Formats: sequence, structure tokens, C-alpha cells
Amino acid sequence: MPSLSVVIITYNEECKIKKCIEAVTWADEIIVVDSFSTDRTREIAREYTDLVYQNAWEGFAKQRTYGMNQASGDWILFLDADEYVTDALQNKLKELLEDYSPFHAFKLHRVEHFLGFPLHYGTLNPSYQPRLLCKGKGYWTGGAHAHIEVADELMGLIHEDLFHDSHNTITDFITRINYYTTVDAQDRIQQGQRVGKMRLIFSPIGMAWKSFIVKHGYRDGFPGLLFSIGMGIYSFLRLVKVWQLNNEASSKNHHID
Amino acid sequence: MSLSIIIITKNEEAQIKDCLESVRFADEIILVDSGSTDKTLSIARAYATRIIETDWKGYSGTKMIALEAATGDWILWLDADERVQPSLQEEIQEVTKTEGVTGYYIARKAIFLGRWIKHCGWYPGYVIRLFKKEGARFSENMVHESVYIDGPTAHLKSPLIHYTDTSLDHYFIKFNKYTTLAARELFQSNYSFHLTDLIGRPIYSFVKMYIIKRGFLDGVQGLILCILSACYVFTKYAKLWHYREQNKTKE
Repeated sequence: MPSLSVVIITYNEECKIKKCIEAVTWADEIIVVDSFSTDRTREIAREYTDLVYQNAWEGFAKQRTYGMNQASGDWILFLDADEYVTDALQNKLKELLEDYSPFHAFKLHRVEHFLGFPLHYGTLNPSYQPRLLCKGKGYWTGGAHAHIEVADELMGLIHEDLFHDSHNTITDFITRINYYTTVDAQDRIQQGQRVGKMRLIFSPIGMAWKSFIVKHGYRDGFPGLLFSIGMGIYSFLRLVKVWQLNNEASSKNHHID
Repeated sequence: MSLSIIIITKNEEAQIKDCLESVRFADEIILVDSGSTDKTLSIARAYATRIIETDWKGYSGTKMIALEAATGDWILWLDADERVQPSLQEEIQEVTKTEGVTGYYIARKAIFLGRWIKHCGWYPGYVIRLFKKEGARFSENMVHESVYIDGPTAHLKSPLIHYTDTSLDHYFIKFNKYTTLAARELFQSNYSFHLTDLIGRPIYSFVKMYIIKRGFLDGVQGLILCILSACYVFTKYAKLWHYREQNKTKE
């Protein structure tokens, strides 16, 4: 039977790493690639595996490639520390290892968790993330949104759930919104976006509407509503940042009265 | 009658010079810093009579340290993002010579994203900032601390200039911090939260600021400010909701 290696990349994940590893102890080997955590991440990981490496962070793709190069398995499952393999997914993966697969890589169905509640609908869903690769049949590439490079027809889908425990608190969610809107706003400026009052009012409402109604966020109940409004706030903050960048550029020579 | 400026800081290198420059006329400047890691202190040394470094003891606790260290008869409490204009300076110098009033309310002219916000309920926004040291103390409220004084009060004509954040990133870091504090305060007071708070209160906040308080007259900045305020109220109650959920699970 082909073997499975799990590659987990970490940075200061002492709170989450245990749960992540414990969900994959059935695999043939576990490799942890840490980018110099300053907390107990490595210490905790060593309780489960000897294969704990340190490698300076150079992006998702490079970090996972580093881990892949340490792996001896035929298949490699790539995880982030805030991702947990469910029992259903475990069974599916075992099944897959037993059979011959025509695919070289797989995207896994990831269920986002928001404030501890699963979100099955809304803007983020359905979410399929490349996480499983037959060693030597493809490679990682890309920046913030890294992906596995294989031919489309060789990329399979697995519908069993991979849990993603990303936004534990609202404070954490807002910190991320703040970070990503700044990055996004700079992109929009490059595209020449202009912002006026109408857009400031209606774009965020449209964004929340899309997540809550069009993408059925209401089915996730109250957390779905919070998340959808959060998407509206995201849209608003991005527009305000674009507006401010435009404004600064055009009023450099004017005085404030 | 002598005048002491009291000011508390943490990482205010961008603001502190202009602030202190605007109050050089005072008899002394007492600056209490809680762990700045930037150039705040090295800039302040050129202006401050006394610099006290301390751990953060909450807004009121930290301000009390400054208040107790002050030796003047009158205290002007200032934040790093505020400036005293010459007209206000003249008025302060005038009234601190007189007797009969214990505390003075001062209006604040807030500059938001480069524009003076005249409506939205922001102006004049009187706050007691000039007061006699004797008998004054700071309240315990976590977010919007205020000063308690005993005795008659009056209003000054000139406003303080208040530069609200120029960087939205920085504004949102504060937004995040303050909504957490406010939610915690509500949580501890056993506020009986209802889900309608989460939608009703932000809408009410927006309507009140933008329409009733005529924020629509403040241009794009007014609109942004009013929506941000609604977001603030929403986030505060969302955090309160989440605290209660987490508490339920613990029990």
C-alpha cells in the first residue's frame, strides 16, 4: 500500500498544533516545518514526531516544498496548523491510498470556522484547497494564494471535510480585515478605482447581501450573519483606504482649512 | 496661579512634538509614558519638566499618576493628538488668573481624514480639560475616562484642535482595542444583550449622526465617519455576543 506523509507548516501555533497533529497520527510520517516560532510549537510537535525542521519563511509554496523534500511517502498531505482532518476525511484518504488513483493531486473540501462555528455557505464557500499530492507528480507555486501545479484533468476533488479554524475571535477577524484591505487597496489604486459616496454606501451592502442571501449565508444562522456583515465591513474599509490614497495623491498641494 | 500640563503617552512620536510645542507657555509639563518603544521620550525630553515611566495602569490610573505629580494650581489635561492654538492659550492664561471657577469645558475641533468635522454630533463636544488640581480625580470608566471636580464650571470660547488618526490602519487597531474594552465593560456589567442590539443600534447610530446631527454636511469624510461609527457599535455588540457565547460553553 502506498504510504502517506503529512507536511505541516507552522509559526507560533502552540495553541493549535496539538489538535492538528493528533488528527493525523494514523499517517506513516509527520513532518513539521516551522519558521522559527518563538513559542512552544516545536516542543509540542516533538512529542509526536522526530521530523521537526526549521526553515526561514519564504512563502507558502517554498515552505511546503521544503517539507515535501524531507518526505518519504508516496502521497503527501499538506496542512496548516489551523486545519484538522475529520474522521470522514481520514477514511476517505485511507481508501484512496488503497486504490489506484488516476489523479496526481487533490483539492480538499475545507469548512471554514468562524468564532468557533462552522460556515458552510457565504462568500468563502464552497472552498476547495489543494492539499494532497502524489510525490514527484507536481509542485507548489504562487504567492499569497499558493497552488499545486498539475494539469487540470489530473487534479481530483475530495468532498469530505477538512476543518479550518481560522478566525477564533472578532478581534482576530478585524486585524485580518485591516491587513488585507490595505494590501487590496493598493491593488485597486493600480487599477485606477475611484470612490464616491454612492459606492461607499452601496458596495458594502452589496457585498453583505451577496454573502448572506445570494450565497445562502443565512443558512449558517447567526454566525453566518456576522460573517456576511464582516464582508460588508471589509468592502467598506477597502473603499475608504482607496479613497484616502486617491485623496492624498490629489490634494498634496492643497492646504487644510 | 501656575499651570501644569498633564499628558500620558505610548508610542506617540508622530504627534508629541507638535503637541508639546503648542503648550510651551505652561509652567510645567508632566508626561507619563507607559513603555514607548519609539522616539516619544527622546522628543519629549526637550519639553517636559518631568517624565515618569510606568506600567500601564488603565486610563484613569495612569492619568492619576500624572495628576499627583503635577505641582501647579491649575491642570490642563491634553492628549498627544491635541494642540492648543494661540487663541486658546490667551484664554487659558486669562482665566487661570481669576477665581470662582473650578473647571472649564473646552470644545474640540476634530480633524478627520483632513477635514474639520463640524456636524455628526462631534462639534463642539465640550469636555472638562482645564481644572484646579485640588480635589480633582479621574473616573474609572475603561474607554472614555473623564475628570471629576467639585465646584462651579464654565466654558472657554476657543477650541482645542484634535487630529484624529491620519492612518486608517492605525485607526482600526484602536477601533479593535476600544471595541474589546467596551464589550468587556458591558459584559462585566451584565448588560442584558439582545440580538436586535446588533442590527438596531448600528443603524440608529448611523441615522443619528448622518441625518439628525447632519453629518451629510461634512462631505465624504462625514459619510465615512458615520459608517465607521456604525461599524464600531456593531463590532462592540458582536464582541459582547461572542463573550457571552464563550462563557456559556465554559459553564
